[in-house]
Amino acid sequence: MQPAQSATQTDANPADLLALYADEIYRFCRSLTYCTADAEDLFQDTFLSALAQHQKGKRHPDLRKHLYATAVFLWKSAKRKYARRERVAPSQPLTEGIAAHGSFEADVEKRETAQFVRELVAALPDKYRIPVTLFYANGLSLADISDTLQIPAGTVKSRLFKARGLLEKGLANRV
Amino acid sequence: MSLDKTDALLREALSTNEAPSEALLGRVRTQLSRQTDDAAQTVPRPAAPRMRAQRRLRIAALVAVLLLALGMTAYAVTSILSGSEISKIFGETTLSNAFSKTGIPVFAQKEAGGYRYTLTELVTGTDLTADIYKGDYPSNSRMYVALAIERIDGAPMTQDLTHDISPLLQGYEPWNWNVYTLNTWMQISVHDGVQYTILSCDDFSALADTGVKLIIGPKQKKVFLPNAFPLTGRQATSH
Repeated sequence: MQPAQSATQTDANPADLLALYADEIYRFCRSLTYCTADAEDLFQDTFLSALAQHQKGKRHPDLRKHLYATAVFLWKSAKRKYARRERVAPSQPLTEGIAAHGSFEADVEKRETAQFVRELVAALPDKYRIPVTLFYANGLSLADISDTLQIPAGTVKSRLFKARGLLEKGLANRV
Repeated sequence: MSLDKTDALLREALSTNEAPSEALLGRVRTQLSRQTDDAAQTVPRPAAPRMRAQRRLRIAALVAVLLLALGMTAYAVTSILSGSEISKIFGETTLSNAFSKTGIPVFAQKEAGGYRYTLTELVTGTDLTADIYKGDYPSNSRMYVALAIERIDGAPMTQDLTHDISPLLQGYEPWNWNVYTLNTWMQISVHDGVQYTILSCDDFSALADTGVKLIIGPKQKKVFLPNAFPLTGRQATSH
């Protein structure tokens, strides 16, 4: 899922990056918030914040990772704002990329399982949920997640392992 | 269940083919362009003296009401960091300078539920931090409140978001005027076992004469649930 163009353009203006990274940053925001309105807010805030930092003269060696890191920071900082909507209006499921290729019953079962997995992931603490989202939803490598979250690669690996364990436990307990 | 199967389930469940709508992209492009234009055209200009005097009066009134809300107890606390020092922890140099020059020291304390809450200092201004929220008022002014939370038993605080904090305005519906609607932005850091918070929100000092309260409570107490504070008519009383 790496973008076709180089992501290491320190002088690129965040406004120019919109076309380049809009899709993957939006998908990340959507996976974090589970709500279209919140995802749109987070998406917009991410690029505006990146531009504000750019205008202050702060340059980042990898703007793609910087956009992810900004989204994570904003999400953690303003989680209450996003959580408010979650309490008022239930979350909206993602539009899945699951292709219908089996029987009707099999497809329904598959979609229900996917929804259950998403609920399990949503219930994970952020320290597990964010690496899981970056790894599985956005396809970032361990090294990229490590750089984005500024934690050692070994920690990313152990958190993914622990998260998988928690999800397996949840799936095993599914009635 | 094998790891491979779990991996496949996760990939399938979390993958999405959604993309930002053209309307959203257009909106973001406009905002980015506006922000770029604003940065190019901004010329620092001092506020008119008369307005500044009125503003100081409003802020003084706000401090008085916040002191009242926190139990009329003011201490000269030496172990708690000042607003300027707290800002430095977050790397907010501009805000730190603002606290040093125009900050209003408060140092009001309240103890409850095993915690000691200290409202150390507050300051208002425009573009003091890099946060992305702009005030809803024409001046774009934001208010920055420095808070410290520590455990009375001396146990260190954690980095987690342990408390709900919100300003409430007397006579205004709390569901319309609160941490969310005032575009609140918070930064939290633990230093020497004390949890420091810089809370930034829309500048509501203009409404200070109506009565402002700062409500703080542990998250598990669910202070924002409707039954957490009794409401009578248009009056809100914080706990």
